[in-house]
Amino acid sequence: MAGPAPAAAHGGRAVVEELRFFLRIAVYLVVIGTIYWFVSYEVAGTLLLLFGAVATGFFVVAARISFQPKTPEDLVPRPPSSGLHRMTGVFGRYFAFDDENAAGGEPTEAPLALEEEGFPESSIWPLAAALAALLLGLGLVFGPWLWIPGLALGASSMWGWLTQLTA
Amino acid sequence: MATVDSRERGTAVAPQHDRPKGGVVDWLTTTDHKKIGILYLVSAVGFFLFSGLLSLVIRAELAAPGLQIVGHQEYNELFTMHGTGMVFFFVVPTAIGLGNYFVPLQIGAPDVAYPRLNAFTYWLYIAGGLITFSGFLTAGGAAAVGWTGYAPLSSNTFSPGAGVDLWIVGLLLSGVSGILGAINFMATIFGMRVPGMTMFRMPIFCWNILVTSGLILFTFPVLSAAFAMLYIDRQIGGFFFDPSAGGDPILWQHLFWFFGHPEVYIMILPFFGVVTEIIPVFSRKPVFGYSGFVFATLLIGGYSLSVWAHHMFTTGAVNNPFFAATSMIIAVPTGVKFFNWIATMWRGKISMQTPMLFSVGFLFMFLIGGITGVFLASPPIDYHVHDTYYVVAHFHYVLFGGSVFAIFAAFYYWIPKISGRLMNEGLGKLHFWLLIIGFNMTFFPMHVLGLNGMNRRIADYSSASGFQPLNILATAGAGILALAVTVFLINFFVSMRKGEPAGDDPWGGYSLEWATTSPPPPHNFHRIPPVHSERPVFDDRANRGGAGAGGGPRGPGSG
Repeated sequence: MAGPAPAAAHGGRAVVEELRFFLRIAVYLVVIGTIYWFVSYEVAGTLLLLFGAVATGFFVVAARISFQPKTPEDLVPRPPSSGLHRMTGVFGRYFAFDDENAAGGEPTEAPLALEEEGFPESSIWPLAAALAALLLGLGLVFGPWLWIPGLALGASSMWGWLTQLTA
Repeated sequence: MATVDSRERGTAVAPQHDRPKGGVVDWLTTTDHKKIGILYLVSAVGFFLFSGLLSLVIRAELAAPGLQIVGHQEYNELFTMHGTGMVFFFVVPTAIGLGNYFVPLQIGAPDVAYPRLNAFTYWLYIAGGLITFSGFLTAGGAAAVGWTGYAPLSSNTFSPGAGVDLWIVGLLLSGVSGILGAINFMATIFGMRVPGMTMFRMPIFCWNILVTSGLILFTFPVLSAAFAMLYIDRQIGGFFFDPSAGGDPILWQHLFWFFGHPEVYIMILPFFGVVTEIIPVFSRKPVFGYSGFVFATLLIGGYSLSVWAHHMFTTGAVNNPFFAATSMIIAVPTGVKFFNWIATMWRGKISMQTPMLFSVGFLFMFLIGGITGVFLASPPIDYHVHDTYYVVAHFHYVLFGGSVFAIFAAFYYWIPKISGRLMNEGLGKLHFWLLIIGFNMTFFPMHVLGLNGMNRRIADYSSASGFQPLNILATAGAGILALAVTVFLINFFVSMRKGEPAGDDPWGGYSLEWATTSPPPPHNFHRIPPVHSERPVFDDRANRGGAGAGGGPRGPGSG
């Protein structure tokens, strides 16, 4: 097993160490799931263990592909943007609708799979969204009429959340 | 991210948000991980007090044979909501609250990765708690199906009324909250460590929060699925768990315990982390076997995914030897941890201040709970004591003797950082001794009661059974526990008003949270010491030739 990594953090190796965290679990789940099947022939537990392995393995593969080491450009402050900006930015990157990139401008997207969101000073939308969840949840018990205010509040808080600018 | 840049150069980070803090609106809209951490801790203690009151009623009822205070239905509601409240709304949220406050500080980050998601996580937890406990306000009362909600007892036939539905929906919401919180912790730990803070230099507490988050990601979705199935059974006429229509009640137990056993580790691993933070600092030594601790935590996390059916030995529907073996093997990495804790203290310069006192109390009490766990992992013993007070004693030694002792250790250790004031040492020690005496008086007799055949979850027992003397002892112990918690609350309120100022680093700590002010400024650090080992603050003290490299606790009662 790897000992303390060298001081050069945030390089390729450091990322691998984080992925090993998941890889170990995936391997363990495959092994224990196989053993479990052959000692018990019990479907529910075997599926839970193997689904866990598949989910973890998928994460390892996906993260291995998309994690990039941090570069100095990532540390340059970005202009304030909103979640919606970033979503359309990602969309534009894949479907070439991104005006900024098309115009050859400086891309505002950091090349990181792990998007650092910036730090909004405060936001009412998390509370509003949780209130919407409360209404939707109570609607499951006391009747779907509660879903009308719940969905309205949920949709508006989602919109407010996505369009709020963060530094 | 502007802050990383300036932090790297070691210059001061200008506080970006200078508007006045502390109003109600500020608390409702905050996205600061520290404030959300405080909200989590305060709410969790609130649920602890409420669920604790429920348990006092349970103990009062059990002090004598017959029914004196509550009827059977109310009693069932009491123990159900006591368990639900303690597990879902106290212990896990306390871990998330401590993680919220201290993980970013310990890895040198300005906040968690997703601050608004973090706030949403907290408010969703509150929504879930309100819905779950609102069952008490409905005509049929709260859920009375045990915190495990076994089918077919939880079906419409045997548990009509809105209480169980509210319980399902509330726990669904709090489960989603847990999943989102886990994602946030993982993203924070993987993506926001300060340069130099490699994975193997992170404080053990962060490692344990990381593994806990992994377990939450694995198991909470299973619980959510199970609750969705139960909801469909109850409300939409499904029959996942209804044997008369081809469903399988045992499936509920598989799903529930596939969540439920890792949940036990979700409730203890963060507090293993807390104790591993405290013991080295109060022994004036580096932690013994850092990587051993990390791998033991990883092993416990991994093993815990494959032990679920040891709760189901007596169903006759599972492979008992498999689960006996996987359950017993967990004692090995736990033993590694105990060895390392003891080796850390060995020949150290131990100062028995309150956080250390609670940590040592934790070692002894959790050890008893762990050992009875090995007994229970043996199917022949489990057949004998299944669903008796022996099991109740076991998991209270794990969750109270383990988690709660470590939670109080964490409070005494970290509240000075959160508030800037030290807790009163004398009251803290009084709290500890009352707690450990009351705890053992309450729960040790339950081992004997269980071995003698007293069933759990039943409001009454026969006067001919001979159970009453030990039950009176347990009830008296519960009274002492209530007194102990009252002492803690008094200590807290008095210390917050008149406590001695803590300074930045009252204990001579090792990890980065001690490098900033108490309480930390917005976005946490004015200066972050360089990180070259797992004890950056210790190194920094040595390099700067401060009050001796050893530092040393300077809080009240030291020396």
